[in-house]
Amino acid sequence: MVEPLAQLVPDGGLIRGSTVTIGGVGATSLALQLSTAASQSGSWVVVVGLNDLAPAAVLEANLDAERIAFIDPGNSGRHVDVLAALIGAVDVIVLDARLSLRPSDSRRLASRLRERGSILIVVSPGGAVNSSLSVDLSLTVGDAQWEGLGRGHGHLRSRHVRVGVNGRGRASRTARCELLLPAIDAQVAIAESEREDGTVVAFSR
Amino acid sequence: MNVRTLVVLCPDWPVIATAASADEAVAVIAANRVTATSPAARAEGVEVGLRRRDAQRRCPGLHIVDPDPDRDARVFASIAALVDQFTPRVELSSPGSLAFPTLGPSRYFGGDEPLAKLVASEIDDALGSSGWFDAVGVGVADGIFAATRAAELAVARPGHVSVIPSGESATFLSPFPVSVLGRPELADVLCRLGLRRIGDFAALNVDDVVARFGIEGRFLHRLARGIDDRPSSVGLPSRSFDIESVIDPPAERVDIAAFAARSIADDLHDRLCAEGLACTRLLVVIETDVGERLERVWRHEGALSSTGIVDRVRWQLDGWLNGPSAQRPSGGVSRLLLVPDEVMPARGRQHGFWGGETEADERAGRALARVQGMLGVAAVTVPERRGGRGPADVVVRAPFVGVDGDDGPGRGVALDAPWPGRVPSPLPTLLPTEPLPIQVLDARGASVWVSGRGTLSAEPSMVRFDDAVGGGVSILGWAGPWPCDERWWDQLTHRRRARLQLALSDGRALLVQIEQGSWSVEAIYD
Repeated sequence: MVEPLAQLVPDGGLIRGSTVTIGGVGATSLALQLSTAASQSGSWVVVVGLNDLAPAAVLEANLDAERIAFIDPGNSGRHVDVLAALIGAVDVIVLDARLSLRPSDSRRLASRLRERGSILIVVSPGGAVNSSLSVDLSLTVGDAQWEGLGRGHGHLRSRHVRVGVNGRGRASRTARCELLLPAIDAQVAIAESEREDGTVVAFSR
Repeated sequence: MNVRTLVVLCPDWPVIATAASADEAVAVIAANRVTATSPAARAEGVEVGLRRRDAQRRCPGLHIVDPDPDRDARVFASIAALVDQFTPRVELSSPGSLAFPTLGPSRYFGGDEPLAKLVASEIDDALGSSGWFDAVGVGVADGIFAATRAAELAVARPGHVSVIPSGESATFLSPFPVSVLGRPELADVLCRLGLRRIGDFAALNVDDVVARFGIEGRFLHRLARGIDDRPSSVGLPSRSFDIESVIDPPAERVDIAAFAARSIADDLHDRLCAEGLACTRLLVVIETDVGERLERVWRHEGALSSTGIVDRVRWQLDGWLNGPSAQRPSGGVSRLLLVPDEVMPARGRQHGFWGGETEADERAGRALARVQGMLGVAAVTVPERRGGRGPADVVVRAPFVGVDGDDGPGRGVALDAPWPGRVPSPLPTLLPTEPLPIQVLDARGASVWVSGRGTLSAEPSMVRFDDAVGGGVSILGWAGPWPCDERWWDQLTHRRRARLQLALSDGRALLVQIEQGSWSVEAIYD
């Protein structure tokens, strides 16, 4: 887990065998940033669906180009088989939320995940995640504000977002975090915002 | 162990292949140097290695030809076909030169000398019919190196044959200059050491040669002593390894067919192992009882083990039998054929200790290959850096090749060439797969356009998606237009467009482009 994001989740990192959902405007960037640390430490990241995901952005998020693959299940309806084949063989699986899972499939995949220790990240770019999966951690990105773009000058540099964290167990209390996603260097950083009473706060629970 | 070898050599082949007439002065010139000449040109003093200007000065009427190895090889195939009637084990070394081991043929034709004479007269007749008499030499000796030297001598001899008796290669080679070993640097050093003849070099102690010149020196020293243990014939006919299994009754389920595959895969693997070979490319053919046929080639950079073969058969069956109903075969699997398409000497396979390929890579590669079996090869892609201006051009999706995580070089290699006018970092994360038309409007609701000089007609203030009902979304910030005129030298791929970066009031940011007067979303910053 990249340093700024370690504060975001309760255990300081993604737990093997868990399911994470990410929704809202900026979900794709957050999913890539969440996978970066795993990829950097030699894990494979496989993206199922998300055919519109730009490979350039994937490499810009510092994922290891040698250890990533994209799978396009098309309309074959076999994404459940694909997931079953991948769980256990690769560490991080990024799944398009638009690929629907039946409740029975979800249960089967979840138990397989827990048993084999892969991490499933379900991404819904721009929208909320409606999944029958039992979710361990749910992240919602919102209130996006871009910086660096004027009226006719400059270019997009960084985005200030608010991430809501919600989950089970130790993560059951809702937390909020302000992030720069991406920050100036196209990575992620904790944004410090000033409260009305003047104290600078980045993270609140 | 030296293999008694016959070498056929046509030193003037690049000239002969041009279909020039034999009495014409012709020279093949590559990189400003003469590489081959016709006899008429040689008579005028044109030698191999001369510069073009010097060659033309010596022979003003010289006809100069560009080198064309493809043409040389194409025409030489007819000569190789002539030799095929003597032996099936013809090995082409380069256009103009071929070799075969004489063991069987010379016994059949009554010895090396009669065989060589037959081959020489056959080829001389064929070349003579187009006027090229005396252009071929046939040499027989122990090993291909000595036989080639013998063939060189034979060209000028009557009968064009030179047979070096068995065991006399070293004596035969000793008067040759060291330069014939084909290593100019080594020849240079040896000459400066006073060793000008192959015999002088061969007389050195082998330990001294290894100490001074290493493994390559040892190899050349062996050549000089007439020991030539390079294999003269490569590759056994892989057809003999084809293996098939007839499944009766036809299998409707994957596991039944996979069971049949297991036994023949083990068999195939054992037979390859017995030859010290490993399969690197395997063609799997499946036929059904109603005559459908599916084949797929599986390639492996290392070596396919027997379980590796079974896995691939099963994945392919799985992808086919459990696939979408449109592709599903209407009958059961009745015949299974495995063809090792490409074999190589088995060297074993080693995991990287630090870095390199790890077990995780192999596991992931196996899973991805399995997914390829389900969805087709094109469904699994990996990023490949290409370089370009737009977000879609910098990195593209390339098919995942090579099962087990081995793929060709170049993947992930950074191409950091500057691309002036490229879209600045951070790059957008989503590229719509379908064109997403959009309207960019100014404050009065009129469409914004970009002039030929790259200026905006008005300040953009809102966008409206074509499929959205009601009003649009207002624009908080914008930058551009960034005109981009790419590949104007090529009519088919020429693109002329202008980009705008937009930050919308709902938090989204877009990269939009105008091309031929209409706006569309090129990418989304999600």
